[in-house]
Parts: sequence; C-alpha cells; structure tokens
Amino acid sequence: MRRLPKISSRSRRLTTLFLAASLGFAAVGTAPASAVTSLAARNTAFKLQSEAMRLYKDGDYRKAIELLRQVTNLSLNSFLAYFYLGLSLNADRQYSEAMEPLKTALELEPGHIQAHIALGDACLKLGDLSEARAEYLRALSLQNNYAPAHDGLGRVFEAGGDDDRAAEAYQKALELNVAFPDAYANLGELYLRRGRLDDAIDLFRKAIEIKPDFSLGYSRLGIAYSREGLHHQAIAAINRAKTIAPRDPLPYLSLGRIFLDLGNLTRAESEIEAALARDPGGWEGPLLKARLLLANQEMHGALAVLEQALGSEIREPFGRRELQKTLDRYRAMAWRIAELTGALAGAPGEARLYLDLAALMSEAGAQDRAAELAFRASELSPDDAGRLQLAYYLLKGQRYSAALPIFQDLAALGWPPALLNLGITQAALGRDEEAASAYGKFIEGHPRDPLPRLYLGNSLLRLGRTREAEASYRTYLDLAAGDEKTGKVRRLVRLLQEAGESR
Amino acid sequence: MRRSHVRALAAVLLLLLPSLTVSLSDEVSKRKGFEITITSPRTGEFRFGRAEITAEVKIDDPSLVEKVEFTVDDRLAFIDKEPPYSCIYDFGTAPHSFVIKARAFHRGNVTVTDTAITRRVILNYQVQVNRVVLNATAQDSGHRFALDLKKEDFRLEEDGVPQQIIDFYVEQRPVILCLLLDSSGSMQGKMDRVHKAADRFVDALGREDQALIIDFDERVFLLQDFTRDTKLLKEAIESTYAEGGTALYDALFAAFRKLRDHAGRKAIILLSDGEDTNSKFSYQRVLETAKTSEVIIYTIGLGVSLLDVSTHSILKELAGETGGRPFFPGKAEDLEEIYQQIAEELRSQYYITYSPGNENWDGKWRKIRLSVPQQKELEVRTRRGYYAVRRDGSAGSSSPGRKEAPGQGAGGR
Repeated sequence: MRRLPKISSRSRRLTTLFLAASLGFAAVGTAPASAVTSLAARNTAFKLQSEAMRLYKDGDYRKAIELLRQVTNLSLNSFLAYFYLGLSLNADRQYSEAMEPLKTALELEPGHIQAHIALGDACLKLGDLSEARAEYLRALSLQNNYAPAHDGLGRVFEAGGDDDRAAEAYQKALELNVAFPDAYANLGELYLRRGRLDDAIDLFRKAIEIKPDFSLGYSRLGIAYSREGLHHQAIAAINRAKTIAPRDPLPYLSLGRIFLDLGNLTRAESEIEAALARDPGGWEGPLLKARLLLANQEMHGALAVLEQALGSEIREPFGRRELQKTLDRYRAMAWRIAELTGALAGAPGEARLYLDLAALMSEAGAQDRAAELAFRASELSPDDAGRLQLAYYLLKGQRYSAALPIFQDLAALGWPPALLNLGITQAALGRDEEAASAYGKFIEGHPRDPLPRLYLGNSLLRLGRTREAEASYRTYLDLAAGDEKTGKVRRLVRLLQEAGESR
Repeated sequence: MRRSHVRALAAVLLLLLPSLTVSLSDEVSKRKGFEITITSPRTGEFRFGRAEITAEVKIDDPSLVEKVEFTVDDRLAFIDKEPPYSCIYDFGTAPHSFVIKARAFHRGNVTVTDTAITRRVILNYQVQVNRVVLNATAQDSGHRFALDLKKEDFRLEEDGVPQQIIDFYVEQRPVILCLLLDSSGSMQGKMDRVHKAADRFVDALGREDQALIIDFDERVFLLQDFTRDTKLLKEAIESTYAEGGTALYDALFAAFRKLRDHAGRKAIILLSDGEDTNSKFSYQRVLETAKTSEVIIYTIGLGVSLLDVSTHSILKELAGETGGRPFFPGKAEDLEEIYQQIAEELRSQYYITYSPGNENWDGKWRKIRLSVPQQKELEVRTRRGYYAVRRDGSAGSSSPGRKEAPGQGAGGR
C-alpha cells in the first residue's frame, strides 16, 4: 500500500489541490484543464473508480461512463477502469466507443476472459463478425468450457445466417452451464425466428425459472405469446419485464409492436413514446414510431422520423439496414400514393384508382381510410369485388356491424371468401352459432384448408360443444403441420382431452 | 423378445467384440503422438500482406500423413501434401484478426487440428500511400548537430538498396512530447534534481510545441494533458514524489496511446532509474508498438550502468529503433544538461521522405539505413525500419507460386 508523504507545508498544499481537483473533475467531467498533483491524481482516481463501479452495478451506465472517462484520463494503466468503461458503454449501446477501452483493458490483462467476451459483443453489435468470432475464440483458448464464449459464437453464427451452427453453439453453452439464462434466451430467439414457437416459449420459461428477474426473458416470452395470438399472456409477460427493468426500452418496444398489430394505435403510441424516452439513440423506437405515423396517415411524419434516425448516431449496422429498408419502402409507397392521388384528380370517377389507393392505405395500417376509399369506389361502381374489398377493410378496422351485411349479401351470391369472412365477422359479434354454420359451409367447398377448421373449433368451443371443437382442432392440426400457431392448439386439444377423460 | 433370440444376439455381439477392441486400440495408437502445431504465425502475432503459414506435424512415420489442410477464417486456403507443410496467404492491408486452422489427416482416418488467432494491429506511422517519412539527426563527435547538410550528402538504403530522397528540409514543425517521469521509491533523494531538470527542459520548448506529463511508479498517472502552458507543465512536474514500484512499460504504452491520435512530429522522453518491476505489458509488446508507431524515444537511464545489462540494453534498443538517443547519466546533477541536449536535438532534425523502390507491399519489416558517406565522423540517427503496408487499401500483387493461397486482396490460385 502506498504510504503518504510526510506532513509538510507541501503536503498541505497537495491536499488542498486534491480537493480542488476532485471538485473540478465532478464539474467538468473531462481531462484536467489545469495540472493535477501526483497525490491528487491517485486519490481522485481511486474514489471515482469505486463510485463508477457502484453506479455500473446499479445500472446507471451513463453516470458510470462519465466517471470512468475521468478515471481513464487520469489513471492510465488501471485495468478495472478501462474494463468497466467498456462494459458500461456496451450496456449503454455505445458499441463503437466501447471498443477502445476494452482493447486497452485487454492490452493490460490479455488473459481476462470476460473482457474478451465484452469486446466480442461490441464487435458483434457493430457487425464485425470476424473480429467478434476471434474474440470469442480467444476466450475459449483461455478456457475451453466457458459457456458465454460458446453463446457468443452462437450469436456470431446466427448473425452470419448459419442457424444450425448457432443452435449447436447455444446448446453447447447450455451443456456446459445448464443455468445460463442468456443462452436459453438466445436459442429461444432463434427458434422464435424459425417459427418454433412452442420450443421458444419453453426456453424463455426456462430462462425465467433460472433467473426470475430476467427482464429480457419476459420480453421475449411476451413476443412469442403474441406470435401465438395469446395477446393477454403476452401483455402480462411484458408488463412483468417493465416492472423488473423500468429503464429498459425493450418491453415498451415489444408492447408498442403488439398494440400496433392489434390496431390499438393510442396504446401503441404511449408505449412507443415511453421507449423513445428511455433510449433516444436506439433504432427500433423510430422504426415503430414511423409505422404508427403511417397507420395514422401521417406519411410525411413517418418519412421524417426515419430520415432523422438515419441521420443520427445510430451505429448498429443491423438497425441502420432496417431503417433504410423501411425508409425505401415508405418512400415507394409515398410515391405511389402521390401518383394515385394525382391520377384521381384527373379522373375522379375512376373506381379502380380508389381501390388501389385503399389497398395502399390498408397496407399502411390505416384501415378506416382504406374503408372510406373502398366505399367511394363501390358508390362509383357497385361491383361485387369492390364490395368484398370494402367489407374486408371494415373487418380489419374492427367495424364488424358495417361489414356483416355486405358479407351476408356476397356469401348468398356464392363468393367463398365472403363466406369465411362472414363467419369471422359473426364470431367477432358473438354470434357463434351462425359463424359455425358459415364455417361449415365454407369447409364443404374447401376441405383441405386448415384455418376454417381452427375458427370453427373456436366457435364450437365458445358454444360449449367441446367434443366437436376438439375434432375440428384435430383436423386443423393434421392439415396445418408446420404452422407456427399449432402449438397453442395442441395444448388446447390436450386440455380438452384431459377434460373429456375426467368426465 | 424370445429368450433364444436374445441368446443369438449376445453371441453376435461377442463375436463383434474382438474386432471392436482392435479397431479402438488402433485408433488410440494412431492418435498417440500425432500432433499438429501452427508454427507461424503464432497466436497473438500480427500479419499484413503476403506471408507464410507454416505447421509442424509430429508423427513417428511421416509417410502416414495424407495431407495438411489450411483454412483462414473458415475458408480453405491451401492443401499441402508434402512436408514442410506451409502456404503463402495474402493477409491484406486492413487490420484484422485471422483465425487460422491447420488440420492434419492421418491415412488411418484420424485428424488433428491446431488453431492460431492473429492479433489486429493498427499501424501508426506515415507511409503516405507509397512514401516513407523519416526524422533524422546528424551529430559530430563533439555532439554538435550538423544542420547544413544537403539532400545529396545523405545516402539512404532500404534493405541494403539505395533509395531516392524526395522531400528534404530542416524540421520546422512543432513537436508533440510526452514527458515520462519515474517516481518509484528508488528515485527518493533525486526528485528535486529531476524537477529542476524537467522544468528547464519545459522552458526550452518552442512556442508551438506541446507536452504532457506522465508520472509513474507501479501505476501510471496523467498529471497534465497536452498543453503549451509551461506553468501547468511545471506544476505537474513539481508535484511528483518518489515511492512504490516501477511500471515503465505500462507508462510507455500509455504514452503511445496518448500520442496515437496526434499527427506530426512526436517524441517520448523517458526518465527512469531502474528495471521494470510492475508492468502488465511485456517489453516485447512495447518494442513492437514502438516499431509500429512514428514516435522518437529518448531514454534517460539515471544511474543505469552497463552492469544493469537488461535495463541498459532495453533503454538503448528503444531509443535506437525509433531514431532517438539513450542517455545513461551517473548522477542526478547531469540531468539538466541531458534534457537540454534533447531539447536542442529536437530543434536540429531533418525531415526526409522517400518512395521505396520495392513496391511489393508485403507487410514485412524493411530495414532503413541513413548515412552521410562523405563525413564519416557524423553519427546519423533515424528510425531503423517500417512494416511495408500501404495505406490505400490495395494489396500487393500475388505472384504465382506452388503454395500460393488466395487471401484478402489477391486473386485465385
């Protein structure tokens, strides 16, 4: 331990300078503008580093970064300062900034396995797969049974499009450490992407079981539930994630996406805004915000949000690609809308133009506007195809009562899609008896189509005709092998079977 | 299953058992002692341009090795069927970590693999597309600097081949300096002299020169970042006091890091009185960084004599490699004069550039030698070499060869 110099007038001057320097650092937060004494440098670095590590552990990454930058500006060979600065920057998604401190940390301690993993993570987030892989392999060369390194390799393979090797690597990580929640979550995410919802849900549950405060696990479980159509469970899981990690934007983003899918734009907006407030530099927030604006028919606003996000400091290459792809698609859509609007100005009686515009609006998520345009088209040219389109937009906009008579008319005229949608509309209005009859008629003409069997099963179940419902679900499962929603139905059939046996 | 079937199955299994045992022990004996090791590049080394990958296979009977397969970043680089097992690979010019694998195939269907992961190194010196930049000093036996030399007076050689000097003038550019002060326990009793000498040096800096102060014992602290303000520099210098161990290499590495983002003429002036006792960096790593940076290092080994073999040679080598100069004063009283000599030397340098005749940018180390043939009494100092990596991103052309592998920038075999 360092012994303090003898008390002298010089030491007293140093102590005064130390206090002044500490205060100066806290206020300025950058390199010292004035010289720091040797003693002050030592004391200040120690104090700031301890405080920063506490802040990091508390999840206050921004403040930790601020302090650790001061420490690394002062104490030039402190491994812990560089390592924690890198970790904090990674946690704050400042991946390119994290590279340098992590490299320096590794220069100071080349055998530090977690620093290799952290540097690999930063490289991976920046899209540098080969450097990320090299770092994970370096970690494995230090300890070949280190599960996070195999997990990292899994993420590299997955990012490179090699799902099979990715799954193998995640499984290897889990073999080495059965209580490794991240590997469960990553493998679950891979399965989720591949449509293996049941397996994904199992893995997310397992992750949560191991780590009950694993907010990421809850968020991903929510997404998986939502993909299965289990919206209530999805919302509950994501709300749990919110409670665990109130500063994390991911649960808000996930809920925003679910509400957008459900057409609940008001709820979607509040979730998206909350996510943006938590992570102004992220890419998913602007993407969802643009989608929301588009659904509210604010095309210019949507384009502006995307352009602004792309002009900002978003560094994740995947995020930038997604934003650019969406911007290109929206621009093409805006161009087509302008083209159709212009054509309509020249030919206001052209029903086809209204229907084309309605289709674009529906794609943008503006179902009410789509229905309005389709209605105008049906006024101009009351043909059945146009009316079917109108009823479809009404159904998508959840205006069931308005859609019902149109579907009834068209179903009576023998339009099969109208018959199926009639059943869906009747079911949405709670008229399951009639819905079951409509599905039944549709099935007569389309016996190999799985979805009507599922819908019929739902109506029969609500009517309390459990045996018939079970039979309908079973047929659905036979016909829909490979469909990602089959997991939920399979579980339902199991429950019905158990209930039947107990009777 | 009926009992008679079970018996029959057991009999078949018993019959199979001896052959299984033979096959297993064969495999074990094949594997025993069968090994492959990548001998170049080794893990942690770096490579640029076209370079050789070599592997050694350990086996009792070499004729049993069918082939050795080399892959770089999962892409097949070369299959070699005869020893010595090697191939040439173009590692390109971009800094990159390469995962190199060598797999040896035994004729008895056994394989062994070795992996080496190279290090990513960013070169920090000026090879401007195809031009090498040098700072040089010429000094006579009376320690006077020769500043009236002409371009024609110099003879410049790269790997023994004469080169044409392009730019030549006496340095006017300001210098960016790192002053490294050893404040380890062994410096006790000398610090007042150190403060005085370093202060005088700071006074001698040019108006545009910038300096920073790093104080090191077993830890390394930045007391003053780059500034032209001599008052601040002196304040930092005077606050140092002696105690603790010596992390000399860590301090040097920290100085390289601080200088990395600055362009122009850069120098480190290192004062230490002894051996490194606490660094996390090795000397090799520091030397390698010195060779990949364009920083002149002046080393002052206070009280370091020829008997301190290791420290003496390290300080001498660091200065020699970078075109600087080592000083070994016996007592602290001499420091002031040494610092003044360094200050004068920094004002007495030539700026020289040349375009290498060897345009094969193969990433190899090239030796530089600068002399004044007509005035042999002059001692000419400049850095000793550079890695031949061009900055414009194009790789060297790949010449056809037996073991040539396609790499980053080269074409196919």
